[in-house]
Amino acid sequence: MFRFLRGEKKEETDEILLERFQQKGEAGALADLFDRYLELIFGLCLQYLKSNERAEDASMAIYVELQEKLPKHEVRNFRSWLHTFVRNHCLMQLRREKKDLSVNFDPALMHSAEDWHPIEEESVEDSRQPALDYCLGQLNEQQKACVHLFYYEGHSYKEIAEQRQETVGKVRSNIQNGRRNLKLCIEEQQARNRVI
Amino acid sequence: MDHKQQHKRDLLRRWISGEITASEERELRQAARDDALLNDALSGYEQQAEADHAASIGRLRSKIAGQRKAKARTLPIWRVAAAVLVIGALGWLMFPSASQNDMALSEGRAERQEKSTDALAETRPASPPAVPAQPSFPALEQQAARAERSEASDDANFPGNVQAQPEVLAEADLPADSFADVADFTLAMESEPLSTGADAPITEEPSEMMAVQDDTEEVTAIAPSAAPPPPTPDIIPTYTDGASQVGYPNRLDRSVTTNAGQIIAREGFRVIRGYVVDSEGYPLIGATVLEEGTANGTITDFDGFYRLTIPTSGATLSANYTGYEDQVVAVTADEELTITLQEGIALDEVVVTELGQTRRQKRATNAGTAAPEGGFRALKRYIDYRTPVNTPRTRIRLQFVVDSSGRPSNIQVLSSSNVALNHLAVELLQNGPIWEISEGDAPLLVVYTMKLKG
Repeated sequence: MFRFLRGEKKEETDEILLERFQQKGEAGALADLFDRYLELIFGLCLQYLKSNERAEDASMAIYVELQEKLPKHEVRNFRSWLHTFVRNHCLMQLRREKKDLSVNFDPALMHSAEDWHPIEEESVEDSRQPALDYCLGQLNEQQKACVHLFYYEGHSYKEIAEQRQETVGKVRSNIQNGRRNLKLCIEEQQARNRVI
Repeated sequence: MDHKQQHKRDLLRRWISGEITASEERELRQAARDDALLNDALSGYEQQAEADHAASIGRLRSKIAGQRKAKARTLPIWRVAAAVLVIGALGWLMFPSASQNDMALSEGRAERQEKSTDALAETRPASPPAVPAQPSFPALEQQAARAERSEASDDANFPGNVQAQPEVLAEADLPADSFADVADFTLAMESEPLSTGADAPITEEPSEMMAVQDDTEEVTAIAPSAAPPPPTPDIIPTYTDGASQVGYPNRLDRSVTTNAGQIIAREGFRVIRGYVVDSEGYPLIGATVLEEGTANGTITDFDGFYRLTIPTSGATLSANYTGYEDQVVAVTADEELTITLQEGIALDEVVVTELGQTRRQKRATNAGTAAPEGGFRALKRYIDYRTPVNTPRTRIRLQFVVDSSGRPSNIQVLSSSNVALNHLAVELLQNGPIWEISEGDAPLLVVYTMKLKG
């Protein structure tokens, strides 16, 4: 009946969706909210559970748990509440499984540690250019090709994957590792230069 | 703010699907620096860089959509039922004299038929404007207008039903009052279920039902004030999710009380807990834990565990347990305090005091007590010695006066299990040990039960 409204519907805020679920019990509102955060929830589960299958199961379990628990909680900031909720869920699961709790907060993977993009117009200063060139040469073939295509030619992961007949995951991994290797290599080069 | 979140979400989605480019990736990583959740999620993905995240996300999406559909499918039945009820009630309200006045009915029908074509023209292709326009109607007109509209569309869909419905209901056996109540109630909730009820036949496929649900949700969002009585927005969820709706008011109440309760409990007090164990670490069951200097205390359970509410500062706990040395411990800031007791006080003798004695003493407190010389044991020995062999077991209750001379006088038999032996009992008492009064010289009235056996 009011289908015409849906097209031009502005995206509702978390608070409104949350209220619709909590106050009126609209399951659809929760589904929308969950959908909105699905990538983040799944990624966070992955961080703790280390496998896609387990993270998928945990995500579904969280969806079910949210249906039960969310109406009973007063949530001010849904985003941070959800962050804690998912983390606790994963930790509880790990505890149940009696696995040792080792969460990898490797600084190399933590973006908060330092944002490091080796190949950006402004960041490539003259002094670093030789080191960069040298280090690019040190990378293995796959990493070199992927890094080149991604950073210099502006292709997306998907395009590179199609071009190289590989999976997106493989390409992503190559770029990620290539970037890390480059970073380590360049830092090493710079340190050496300073000594000299 | 919200727009920013949406943008981050898009970036992450593109990153997962692999459509992302270098500059966008840089943007995403920068965003992750200020966003703990995004940061954690991103590093989660990167740890499993080679896995097919897009497929995982896709599977999850379809699972959730599946659940949602399953839920949505059950709704229309309720709505159709509600709509039928409402239409029936309205029909009855509008044509109360249907059976008596056929003219009025046919007139009314003609009128409705007219309106139905108008309304239908509105309802079908351009139906949406009908409701946004509603707030301008006065409440009553509004209801009537909607009722007509819905009936009109109903008529249009089931032309055969037009006559049957109002008449059947008018003849129904229900008492008029109760039916009017139902009508009032249904009127109150009429706007949403009715419109879907009218809509339902229009829906072509089952897969469209979800869309219908969404539409009605939007109605609620757009015009909550359109419905005259307040229950309208509240009633709809009853159809979507009965359980959570029922629980809703309670939940509010509970949250209020618990909040208040927590505040009171926390002010100036805290809970300490721990175990009381012996020097080898075994739990001491039933050990007493007291807040030193107060009557605030508890005992440990089967695991030696205790839990006690104490003032936030300056409390000391004392723990004691039979056969162990008492221990006084100053409470630290920790929530847990395990108390170890040393085995100490060795007990070689345990004195168990007869409980009944208290009562007897109480009765005698005024004037002291009387006891035979050498104690009751001596008296008993004397009695046993003097009792002839073959005497049956007998209990004789005697009352007598003991004065300063110590000789029992005024001996009376209060009760006896063998009357033949009363004489013997009195004789034994008279000739037995003399009695002593513990305090003072005043004569005492004594009751003594003598047990005889051969």
